[in-house]
Amino acid sequence: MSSLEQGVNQEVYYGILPMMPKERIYDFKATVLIIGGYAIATWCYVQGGYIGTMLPLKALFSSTVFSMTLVGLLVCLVGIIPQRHGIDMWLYQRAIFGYSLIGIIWLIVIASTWGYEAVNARLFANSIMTVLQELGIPAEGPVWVGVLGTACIVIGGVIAVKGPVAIKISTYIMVPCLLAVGVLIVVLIFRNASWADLMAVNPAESLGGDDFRTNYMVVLEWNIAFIFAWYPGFAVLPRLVKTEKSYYWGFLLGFCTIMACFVLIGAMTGLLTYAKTGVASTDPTDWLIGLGGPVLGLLSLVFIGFANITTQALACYTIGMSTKTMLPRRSYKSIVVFWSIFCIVLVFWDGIWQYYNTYIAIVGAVSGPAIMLLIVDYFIVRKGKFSLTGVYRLNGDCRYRYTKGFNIPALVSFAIGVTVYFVVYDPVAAWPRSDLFLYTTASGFSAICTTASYYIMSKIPAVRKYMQV
Amino acid sequence: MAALDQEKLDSDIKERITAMESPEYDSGPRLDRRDLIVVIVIAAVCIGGMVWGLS
Repeated sequence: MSSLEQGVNQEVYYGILPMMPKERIYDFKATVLIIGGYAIATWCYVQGGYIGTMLPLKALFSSTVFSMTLVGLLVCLVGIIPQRHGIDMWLYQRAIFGYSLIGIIWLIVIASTWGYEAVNARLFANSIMTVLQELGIPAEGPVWVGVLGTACIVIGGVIAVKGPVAIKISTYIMVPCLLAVGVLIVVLIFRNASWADLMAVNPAESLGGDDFRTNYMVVLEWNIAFIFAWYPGFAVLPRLVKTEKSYYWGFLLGFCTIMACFVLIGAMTGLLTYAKTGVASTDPTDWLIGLGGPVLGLLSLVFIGFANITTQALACYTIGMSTKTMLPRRSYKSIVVFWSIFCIVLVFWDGIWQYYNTYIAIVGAVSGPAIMLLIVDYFIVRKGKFSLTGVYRLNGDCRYRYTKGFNIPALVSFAIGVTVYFVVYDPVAAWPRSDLFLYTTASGFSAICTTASYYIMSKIPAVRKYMQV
Repeated sequence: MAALDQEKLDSDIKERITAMESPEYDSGPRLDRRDLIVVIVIAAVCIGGMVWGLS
C-alpha cells in the first residue's frame, strides 16, 4: 500500500473523511461483540451494586432489563446518522448547534465521559489489588490504585493507537471471557442462594423502609441516565458498521440488553452480599472472593480486571476520533495520549468513584437533551436532509454558523432540558425534588421538554429559515 | 503513516461528498416496516414489564 493510500485510510479510520460503505468493517456479529464488550465492563457491576441497595429482585429486573431496552430503542436511533452518512455524529451536530456551540457541548460531554473510564481503571486496580492481597502481597492504598489504574489506561491507549482492527481482535478474545465470567457469577450466586432467597431480600426496607415507588423511579432514573450517558459512544462506532440494520439491532443488543443483563447480575450479587453480610457494597471486587472462594473468585477478578483494558481501548478510540473531528490538525496519537493523561488525573483524584450517583446524574442531565435534539432534528425537523458541505464548511459554505456559531433555538431547548432535569431531581442527594419525578423521572421529563420546545420552535417559519431547514 | 496535508484532505472530502450526493449513491438497506413492527412489539413488552415490576 502506498503512503498516500495509508494516509487516506488513516484519515478514514482515525480522521474526519466521510466513510464509504465499502470501507466499513463491522457486520452484525462483530457489532454485537464489540459493543457488548464495550458495555459489559465492570461499571455494570458498580451500577448494579448501587441499584441493588434500593429494590428487591423483581423490581430490579423490571427497572433494569425492560427500562434499558425501552430507552435503548429510542437512543439507538441516534447512531443511524453516522451509520447512514459515514460521518462522525459530532460533525452532524454542527447543523444542530452551530459551529461554536457544538465545541462547548462536545467539551462538556467528552470531559465528563472520562469519568466512566476512571471508574473502569479504578475497578481494574481494585481487582488486581484484591488478587495480590489474596496472594499475600500487601497491595492497598491510593498509590496502588493510581499505579494500577494508570497501567490499565496506558495499555488500553496503546491498543487504541493501533486502530479498530486491533480493537476488534482484542475484543474477540476478551468478550467471550467476559461473558463466561458473567455466567460464572450467576452460577456462584445460585450456589450460595436459591431464587426464593434472593426474592426475599429487600435492602431498602432494612435500610429505612423508603417508599417503594420512589425507590423504583430513582433506580429507573439511574438506569435511563446510564443509557443516555452512552451518547458519545454513538458518535464514531456506528459509521464502521456495514448496514443500518446491523448497526441498530447490534447496538440495541450490545449497548442496552446485554448491558442490562450484566447490571442485573451486579444487582443480584450485591443483594446476595447484603443478605449474607448485612452490608450494602457497591464494589464488585468486595463480592467475588466471598462468593466464589479463592480459586473461582480470583479467576473472575483477573478476567474482569483485564477485560477493562479492552473497554479502555474502545473508549480511547471513540473519544480520540471525536476529538479528531473537533481538532483535525492534531494527530490521533497525540489526542489519545492527552485524554489518557486526563483519565489518569481523574483516577488519582478519585472524586468520580466517591460521588458516582452525582456524577451519573450530571452526565444524564447533559446527554439526555443532546440525544433528544439529535433525534428530533434529524428525523422530524430536517427529515434526514442536511448539507454535508455545510457541515464540513467546504467551498465557503458556512450555512450552520447561525448567530456567531450558536443556534439559538437549539441552545434554548438544551438549556430547558438541563434546567428541568435539576428542577425535579437533586443530583447531590440523588433524590427527587418534585412528585413529577414519580411519573416521568428526571431524564424522561427533560427529554419531553427538550423535544417539545425544539419541535414547537421549528414550526415557526422564521425559525425554520434561520435553522436552514 | 504520513498525515495528509489539509489541501489533499479537503479534496478527498469533496470527492466523497460528491459521490454521496449523487443519485447513484446507495448507503445500503435502511430499517423497514418489519423492523418497525419488531420495535413496537419490544416496546410493548418492555412497558408491560415495567408495569409488572411496579405492581
